[in-house]
Amino acid sequence: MPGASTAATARRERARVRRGSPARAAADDPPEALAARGGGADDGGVRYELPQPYQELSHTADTGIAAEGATREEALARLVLALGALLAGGGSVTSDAEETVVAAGGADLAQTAVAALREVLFRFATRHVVPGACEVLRLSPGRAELRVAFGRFDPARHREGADVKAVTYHRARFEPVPGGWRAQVILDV
Amino acid sequence: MKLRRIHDWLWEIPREGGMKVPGRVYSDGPPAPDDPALAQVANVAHLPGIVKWSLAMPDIHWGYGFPIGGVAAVDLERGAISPGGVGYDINCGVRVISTRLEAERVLERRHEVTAELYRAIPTGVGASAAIPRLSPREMDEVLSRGARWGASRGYAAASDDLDHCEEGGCLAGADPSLVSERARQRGADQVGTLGSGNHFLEVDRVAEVYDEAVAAAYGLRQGEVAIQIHSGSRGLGYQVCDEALADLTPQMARYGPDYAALPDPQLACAPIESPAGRRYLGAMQAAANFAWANRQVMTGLAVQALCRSLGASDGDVGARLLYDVCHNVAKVEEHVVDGRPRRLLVHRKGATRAFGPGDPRVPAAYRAVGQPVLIPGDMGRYSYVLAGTATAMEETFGSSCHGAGRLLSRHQAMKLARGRSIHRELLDRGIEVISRGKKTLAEEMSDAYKDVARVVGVVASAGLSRRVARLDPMGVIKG
Repeated sequence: MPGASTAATARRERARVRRGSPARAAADDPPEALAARGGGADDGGVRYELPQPYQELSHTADTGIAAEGATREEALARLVLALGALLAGGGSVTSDAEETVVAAGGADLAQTAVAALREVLFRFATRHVVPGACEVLRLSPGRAELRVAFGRFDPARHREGADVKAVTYHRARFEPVPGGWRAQVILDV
Repeated sequence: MKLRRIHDWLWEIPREGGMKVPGRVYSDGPPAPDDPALAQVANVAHLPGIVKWSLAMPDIHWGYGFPIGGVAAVDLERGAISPGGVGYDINCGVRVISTRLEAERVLERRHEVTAELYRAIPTGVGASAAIPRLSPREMDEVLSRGARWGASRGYAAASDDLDHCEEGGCLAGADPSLVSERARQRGADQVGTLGSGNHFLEVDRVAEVYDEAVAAAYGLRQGEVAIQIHSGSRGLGYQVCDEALADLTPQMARYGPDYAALPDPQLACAPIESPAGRRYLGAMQAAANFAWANRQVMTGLAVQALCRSLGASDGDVGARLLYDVCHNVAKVEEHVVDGRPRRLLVHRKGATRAFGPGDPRVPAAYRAVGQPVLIPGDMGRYSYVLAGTATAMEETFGSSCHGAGRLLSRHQAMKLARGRSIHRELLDRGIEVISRGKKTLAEEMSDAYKDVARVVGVVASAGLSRRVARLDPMGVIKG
């Protein structure tokens, strides 16, 4: 299907063009600053690559991440990549294998996002791989299907990476904001 | 948040709304009413079957559902078990190994000793392979036997290690069959690894002894070396907690209005006697055993590394496990409540068991003076060895604080560390620190923590524990 392939390539190009720099907003940056770095108003099915804009949230013992997108899918993809950015500690990620990640469970989008990030984290914990690109194929309360490209965790390149151990339900949010959606989770580190 | 002063060191959150009991907070002054951790103390007071009080130790800080530094005892027959009341790192805990080495001997070779420990014990993100990956059968043994598994494989400080662990280093009732394949995968190559975050291994000097008689009973002498290990159940425990939360959260309402009305989803819980409650209890107990095996293996590795780095024999080093405490756990215990004995499930999340003198559950060697209570501080200052008291048995279900408690978030600590070399600052204070990355050092620097001496001062003043000795770090390894 050459047509589909071309469309997919075009979407990928748009996503790459939108890569934010600087990728990370400060915890005390206003949401509009974060949104301005996000840009874009595409539908789901777009592949996003590191780095993407996200916000790091202060939490006494641990840390939180928040990401915004014009669509729910964009917000979730960026949240997944925010997790990747934390795990990589700012080091680059060379994606060398793609797989479909299915997360089931959760009564709402916030809990589904938690489930999706837990799936990604499980792969990090057991296979030492970090997400470098993400495309949200389907998202509804109770189920998320993602195409995630992973790269190897490199102890030297990623030496400042956070040892994220769990994605919690604590203060998990997935809600509409002016211009799109905002997703956040607190991570146990 | 309303607060009522009980005495100089204790404040009460009066019962209101759906709270089943009042909250009680140990503090050296009125707690800040807008501290979100206080709201969590009040939330915990909603737990079905909670007995007497929802308690907060002086190192309380904001956690998930439960505050860190919280204690909740629930009736074993009518009460609820909550994974949030245990925490993600099931049986995170501390052990101290005493030695007969003079501190000067280690000070001279501080760098070599610390470097050898760092080589022997994997630390940091994805730390693994301290020992060969566990086979499924070995994993079952670890989950069933805890520290006993490690000791039986030769990882030990001395032959009486198991006598000096809370619960003998093994929780009865653990059911390995309830630990999922995913949890097993996360833990299979992590036995004997330290992890990251606030976990550490320190070579300490017994810097001050406050109570000679108790210190003598514990085998601590001023000027000698001790090793301190703070770690837990690694990825396996996290996975057990994750799965329990996912299991319990959607079905809370089915257990009745008390469960449906809980004010925070992270307080997810189930009746202890329900199938879901039993599943979590058995899996949690197995994860606790994994943590004990982990600390036991690290003990053996650390003592061997100490011997190698000093060119000393086991006999020269004279290592002996002083004690091992868990500070993230729920355990079935009997306590006297309003004059009668009751069987309770005591959740301690960031709190340490502190049983007093005469209690038969304290090892025979320490029974006359009370259980050792091990309270780590931050890597740049000091830690404490305390002793449990009768007051703790009366007021806190035999519980005390667990550490310094964070003052700054990790994010705030990073900001404060900009432009500074934490490694250099510690070296200037005579402390050799080896860690994988600079970020951990910044996040874990002394400024990020309350002064543990102040926390210990509160529990000592309130009578929950007695000061025995202070340990000052000479070498630290961090993830």
